[in-house]
Amino acid sequence: MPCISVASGKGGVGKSIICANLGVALSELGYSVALVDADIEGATLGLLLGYNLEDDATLHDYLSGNATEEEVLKSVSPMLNVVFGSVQLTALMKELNLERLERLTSWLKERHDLVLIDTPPGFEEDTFAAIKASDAVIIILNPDILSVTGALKVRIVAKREGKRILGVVVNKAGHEYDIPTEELEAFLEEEVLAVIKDDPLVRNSLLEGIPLVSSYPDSPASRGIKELAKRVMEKLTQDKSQVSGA
Amino acid sequence: MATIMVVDDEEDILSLIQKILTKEGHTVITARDGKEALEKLKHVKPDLILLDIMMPGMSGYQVCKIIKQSDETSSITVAMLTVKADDEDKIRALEDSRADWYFTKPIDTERFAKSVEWLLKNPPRRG
Repeated sequence: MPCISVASGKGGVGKSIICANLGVALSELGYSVALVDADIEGATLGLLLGYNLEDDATLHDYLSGNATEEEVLKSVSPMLNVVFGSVQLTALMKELNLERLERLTSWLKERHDLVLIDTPPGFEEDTFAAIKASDAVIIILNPDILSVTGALKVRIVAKREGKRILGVVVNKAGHEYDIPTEELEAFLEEEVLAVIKDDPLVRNSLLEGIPLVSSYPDSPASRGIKELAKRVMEKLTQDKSQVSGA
Repeated sequence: MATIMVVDDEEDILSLIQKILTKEGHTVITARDGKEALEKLKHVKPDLILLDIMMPGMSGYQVCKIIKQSDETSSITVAMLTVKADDEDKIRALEDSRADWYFTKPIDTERFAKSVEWLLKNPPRRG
C-alpha cells in the first residue's frame, strides 16, 4: 500500500489535525497505519495524539543518522504506529539528511497497510522531501482564495515530482462565505474527497490531547474525517484492482 | 438583479455571456478591451466584472490589478474568464492581480449561471 503525503500550501488550514485523525480513523477501520511527522520545524503529532515524547528517538534523530527505523517507530495503538518529530529546539540545529526520509517511508510501507506523512506547509526543502518520499498526495485546504492557490502550488510540486493527487479535503467548512464544493472541483479539476465542518470540538480535543475521532466520535468534524478515511481506502482499492486487472 | 460587465475581445463570447446573463435578468455592459472597460468604469459601478486575460493592449491581469488598486473600484468582484487553464495562470490571477475567482472556457452555460449567482451573493474571502 502506498505512502500518502498530507499537504497544504498554506499553514493553519488544519492539515496536521486531519492527518493525525485520519490515521486514527483508518486504524479503527482495521488497517495498520504508520504516521510520520515530517513537519520538521513544527512537529505536533505528539500533542495531537496525546503521546508524551520525553527522551524517545524522533524523526530528527533518524534524519541525522542517530537512530534506526525500529528505534523511531512508536506504537500508539495496536494498529497505529507513529514516527514523531522532535519539539526540542536543539533537534532543529542538527544536520538533517532529508533524503533519508524516502528510505524510512520504504521501510514503513513494507510493514503497514498505509503510511501517512504530515508534510510541512510552505515550499521549502522539507516539503519537497516529504512529497518526494510519498506515492500520492492529499491536499488540505480551507474554502478561501489563498488556501486554494496554496493547493495549486502543492499540485505544481507534486506534478514536478511525478506524484498523483488523490484529491482535496475541504476543512473548516460550513460558513456562508465558503467557496462551494462544486466551484472548487471545477477550478482545481480534482475530486473533493471530504468536506470537514468547522467544529468547536476540535479545540476541546486539542486541549484534552485525545484525537477528535476518539474523544468526540460523533462530532461533525469526526464524521467528516471518517468519511474521508473510507473514501481514501475506496480510491486506493480501485487503484489496486485496476493495476491487478491491467 | 445585478449589473455585470463582460470584458472580452471575442464577439462570440460577449454575445454568449450576454445571452446567459440577460436570461437570468441581469443588466450587461460589454467592453472589447481593458482600456474600454476602465473608461466605462469611470461612469458605472457593476456588481461583477467578468474579464478575459488575453486581449489586445492591456492583459486581463493588468486590468484586474488596476481595478483592485483603485479605491473607487476595488470592492467590485472580478472573475477571470479565460482559456488559460494552467495552475500558474490561476495563481497569478488570484494572488498577483487579486481577482476574486477564475473560470476557464469553454463554459457549461447552466453551471456558469449558478456560479455567477454565487459570486454575486457570496464572493469568496481571501483567507
